[in-house]
Amino acid sequence: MERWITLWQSTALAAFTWQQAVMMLVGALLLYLAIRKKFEPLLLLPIGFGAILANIPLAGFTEPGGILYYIYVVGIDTGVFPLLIFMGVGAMTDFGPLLANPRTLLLGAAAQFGIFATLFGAIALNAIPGFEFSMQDAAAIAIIGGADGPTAIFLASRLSPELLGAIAVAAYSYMALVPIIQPPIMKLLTTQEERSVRMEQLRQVGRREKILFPLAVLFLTLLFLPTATPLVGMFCLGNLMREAGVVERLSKTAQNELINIVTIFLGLAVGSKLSASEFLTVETLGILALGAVAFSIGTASGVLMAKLMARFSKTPINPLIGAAGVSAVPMAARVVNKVGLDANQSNFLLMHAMGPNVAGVLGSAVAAGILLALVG
Amino acid sequence: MQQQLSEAFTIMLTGMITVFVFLTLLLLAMGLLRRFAATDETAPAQAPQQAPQAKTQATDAQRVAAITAAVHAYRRDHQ
Repeated sequence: MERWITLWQSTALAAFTWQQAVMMLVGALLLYLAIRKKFEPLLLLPIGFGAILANIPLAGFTEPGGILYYIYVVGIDTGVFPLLIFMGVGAMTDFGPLLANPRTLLLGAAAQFGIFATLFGAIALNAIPGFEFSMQDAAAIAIIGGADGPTAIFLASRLSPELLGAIAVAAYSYMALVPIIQPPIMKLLTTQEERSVRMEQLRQVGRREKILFPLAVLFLTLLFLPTATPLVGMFCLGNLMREAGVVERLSKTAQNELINIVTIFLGLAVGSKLSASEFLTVETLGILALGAVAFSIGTASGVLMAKLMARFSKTPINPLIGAAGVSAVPMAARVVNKVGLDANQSNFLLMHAMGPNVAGVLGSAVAAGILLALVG
Repeated sequence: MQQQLSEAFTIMLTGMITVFVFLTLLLLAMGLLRRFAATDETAPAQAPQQAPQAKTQATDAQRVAAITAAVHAYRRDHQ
């Protein structure tokens, strides 16, 4: 009889808590969103599976000795994984459209208002009982508005590791929801006439300019914002490998094999943070709500900035491209293109929107550096 | 609470201003970059148009010479 009891106690059935069961359902929901709805499947699939593994009773995945524990410590605690991903993103990024129309850099800057307004919002949420966000927590939550997964994970791992799971899930879910969140805001702030504005063809950008650009970005960053150099530096390294043309093998590896391998581990490590004690809190609900607000404000301020620029510009500017200033490359640019086509059947804004789109990546990395410097 | 809010407000303001100042600096740097890169790139762009023809003529002549020599050598050996 005693042996039967021992055996029973070693099964999951006996040790299950309802919180763990709920978290497994959350993991299953993420798997459903990834597989069926194709929401950022590259990230949400490993995150969802990681969440299921992390909540298996008695298996000890997230305790010292468990694999998820080590993956987390090696990759996210140190900040290595998000930075490697950022290098890959740099190797995939073509700065051509931005270099052809440098003014769009300001749109990428304006859209970062979503981040800073959300920081304020997170602190204001403390007025509701049950919420106790420190300034670090607020900064880590706010970066969801940057619409940039690796940046959000990097900053959260530096400032507020206990909220990392919820922040990463919110960031990637909302990035997948960009085609649903953005268009109503874009249409609300523009007239049909503004949306159908045609922009001039972009000029060709020379190779030398593309090679020197990442170096110029790095130079400015190391002078004025050293806290942003981990992100910006890795990004520029990836981009230089792409544009230099002499290390094609390295560039290909950074944007394919390496980024894929790191993505698997990054997803699992984020999933391991989805434990019941850290995720099933009111604060998670707050984070999800704030994330949506951050995205909306970022989109709106980008569009408004583009309207302002259009007023003073000699060449026509379609205000829709401002919405691409929240990074979410290339999804946001595609959304701009689609809304533009709705207004004018023959108006292709994709390349024009890629400028503010990559400017948004730089902008959110810069904003992350500022937050690290101010509250880190 | 009040104090935290005003702190958040200051961060919001300084943060936004810094982002704009930084990206404006980058904008100026891009202007310089364009001017610098453009002067260098117009020159080599024109030069190659003439060069390839001269080059192919030269290689053609060399190739003909090589083939002729090979044919002569073959005939000499196989008589």
